[in-house]
Amino acid sequence: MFALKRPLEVPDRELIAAALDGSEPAFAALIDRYKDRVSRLLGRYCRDPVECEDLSQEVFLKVFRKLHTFQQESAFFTWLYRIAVNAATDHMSRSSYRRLRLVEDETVLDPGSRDEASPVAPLMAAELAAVTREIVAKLPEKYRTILILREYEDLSYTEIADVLQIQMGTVESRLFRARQRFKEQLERLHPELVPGRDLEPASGRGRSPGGGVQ
Amino acid sequence: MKISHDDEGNLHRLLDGELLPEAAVALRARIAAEPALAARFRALEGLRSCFAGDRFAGERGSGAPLSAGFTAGVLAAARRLPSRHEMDEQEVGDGVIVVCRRLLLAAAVVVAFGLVWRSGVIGRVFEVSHGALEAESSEMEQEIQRLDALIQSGAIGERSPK
Repeated sequence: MFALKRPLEVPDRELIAAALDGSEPAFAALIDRYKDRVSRLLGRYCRDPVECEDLSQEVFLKVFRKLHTFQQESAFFTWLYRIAVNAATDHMSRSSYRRLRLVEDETVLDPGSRDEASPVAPLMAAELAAVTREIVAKLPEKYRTILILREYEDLSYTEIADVLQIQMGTVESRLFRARQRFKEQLERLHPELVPGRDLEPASGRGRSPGGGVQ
Repeated sequence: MKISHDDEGNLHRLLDGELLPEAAVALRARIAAEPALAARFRALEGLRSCFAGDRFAGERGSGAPLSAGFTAGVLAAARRLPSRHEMDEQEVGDGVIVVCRRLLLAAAVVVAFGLVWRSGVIGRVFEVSHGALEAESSEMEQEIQRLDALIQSGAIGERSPK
């Protein structure tokens, strides 16, 4: 039986091997290690906490079923993220629920939750956060996913390539285009919220980053 | 001043910490010296601040914590799953069912086509379309000559214009 005295110090590889041998505590340790990240990632696709928890459970059950197929060449968490991203996109297409649901998030709209000196700044920041979420929700799935992985999950280009199983060059061009799409939407819908809009030379606006900017 | 495609890509890579240290130093030096590059980089940094703000909000609020019994719940659900061997068998079985279903569908399409063919509907459609086709020019020429010959032989009369 696999014993977990200090689970955080046990490498993923050992936990996986033990879980494959039928150790429930080892699999529980894997879940405990990654459940918050998975939940946070899925929370970017579905905002309903109950739905998000169900989806998280679905992800870990799929991990349980497919663990024997995991190739140790890549990091476990990128494999896990791949499953989570696929589950999220499947879930959204299943329920014809292709967009993030905008929730009036009390934390986002609570001016007291931020520490800026100006009383206006927190409101602006909250509005910007809500608008950002709204725009990301409306982006095509491939752009939304790559922005979520890069901007919210802080994955490197290599990790994103691994999760999405695409080439590095594709990661770059897709990410640059996603940012450009985001910027265009922000400029179109809320030009007053575009950060540093006075900084960029006028000739540089509206061009594709992937396709040359003037 | 124009920003080249390569520079634009490198600004994104710098922003994402994906440039090699020496390349990053060189690009930062250029940003310090070139206002257009600096402005573009600041704009990208500004854009990133949108996500940083939303990330902050997400981490504090909407990243709803999972219930306390989440892990136990997953383990309980996993226990109810069939064994890996059974799951493999089930997967194979599911695969066979899918293949059989597709084969049956293909067979049904072939049989349906055969029945329609035998009923002669398709033949009639082709006949109709053949009937609608114009004659070849050589055939037309032959037919005109035949009619001319008949007129000349008096077998049929030539109509006089009114």
